[in-house]
Amino acid sequence: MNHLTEEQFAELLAASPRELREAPAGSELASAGAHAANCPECTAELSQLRDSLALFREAGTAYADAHIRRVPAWQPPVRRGFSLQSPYWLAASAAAILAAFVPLQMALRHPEPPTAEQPMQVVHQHTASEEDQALLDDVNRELSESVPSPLAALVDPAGTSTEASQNAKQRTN
Amino acid sequence: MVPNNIQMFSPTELSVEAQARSTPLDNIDGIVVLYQPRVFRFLLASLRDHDAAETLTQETFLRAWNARASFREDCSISTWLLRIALNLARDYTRTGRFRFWKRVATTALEASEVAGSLPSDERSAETRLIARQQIQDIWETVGQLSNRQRSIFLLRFMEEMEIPEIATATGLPLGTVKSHLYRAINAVRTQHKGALKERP
Repeated sequence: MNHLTEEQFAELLAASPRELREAPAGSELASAGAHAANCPECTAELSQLRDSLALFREAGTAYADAHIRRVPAWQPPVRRGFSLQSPYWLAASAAAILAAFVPLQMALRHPEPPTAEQPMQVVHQHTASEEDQALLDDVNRELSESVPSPLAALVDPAGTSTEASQNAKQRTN
Repeated sequence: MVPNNIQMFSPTELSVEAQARSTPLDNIDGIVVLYQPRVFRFLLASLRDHDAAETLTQETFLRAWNARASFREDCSISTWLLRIALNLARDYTRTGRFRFWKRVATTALEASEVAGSLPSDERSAETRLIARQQIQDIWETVGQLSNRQRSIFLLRFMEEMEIPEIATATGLPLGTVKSHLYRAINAVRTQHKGALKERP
């Protein structure tokens, strides 16, 4: 008695129960099925291999199921809308604030050199301070004199005292 | 002449309309709960590496999410997801990095680990031992198949997909899928026959 060919055996094994049921009469699959139904040897081999494949599937599924528990469930990436609390927005705000205040601080610490208009003001200020200083010097000098300047004429009416004393010194020498 | 009952959209309105259109993938949380184990299982059995399977599972859902507008509903969501996973796995196995890590694999999956995870039930100790050996044998034989044969074999016998669904997922013609599947089955059958003869 002929048995199933390799192809017929594979076709029978690969066919799902639905495909076996719905196989058209006279087709390769239907005739292979008819042979297997009447051949205990082919039926036994098919049955043993089907059982082994079922065990293979059962063990593979159990193993994967045990390990999938360790795999985090995939989450879709979150698309962020505009939000004042978004880190990007906060970073941009901080950058803008820094950009505004750092130059200001730099300017306060290191004043810029005078521009073309500033020398006139400086010269003017310089002149005023010199006048003030001269006035103060005059006041100090007058205060330090033993005889006030309005009374100086009374002390030496001829105004020669100095010259006379100098001539006397020269003579003694 | 455009009939009056057809609403015309400007290109801008059309794109807004297309964006606003809801897709079955909008409920991504539910889809992840439902399909993440399946995608992970397929990738784990294909690549036999925990880390790679985890990474590519995450990548599969990211790609699906980004391309959700292009999902035409001409196949089921699971087929579409497995198609993405399959492409990622194929790209991954082509890289030199994969070939290197395959040689020194520390996270590689051993046949005994998988066989040992068979749920304990009313099987006798002897039956369990035989079952574990059968699983190990098939696992090792499937590992020796070409990438394409292995993917198709796993889609059929691990994911229980029918051949037309596998053709959709792989993008291959029906005849090509059958050809690869039958070769894979013959390899497993030959090994299985030999193992049965060796057993007392």
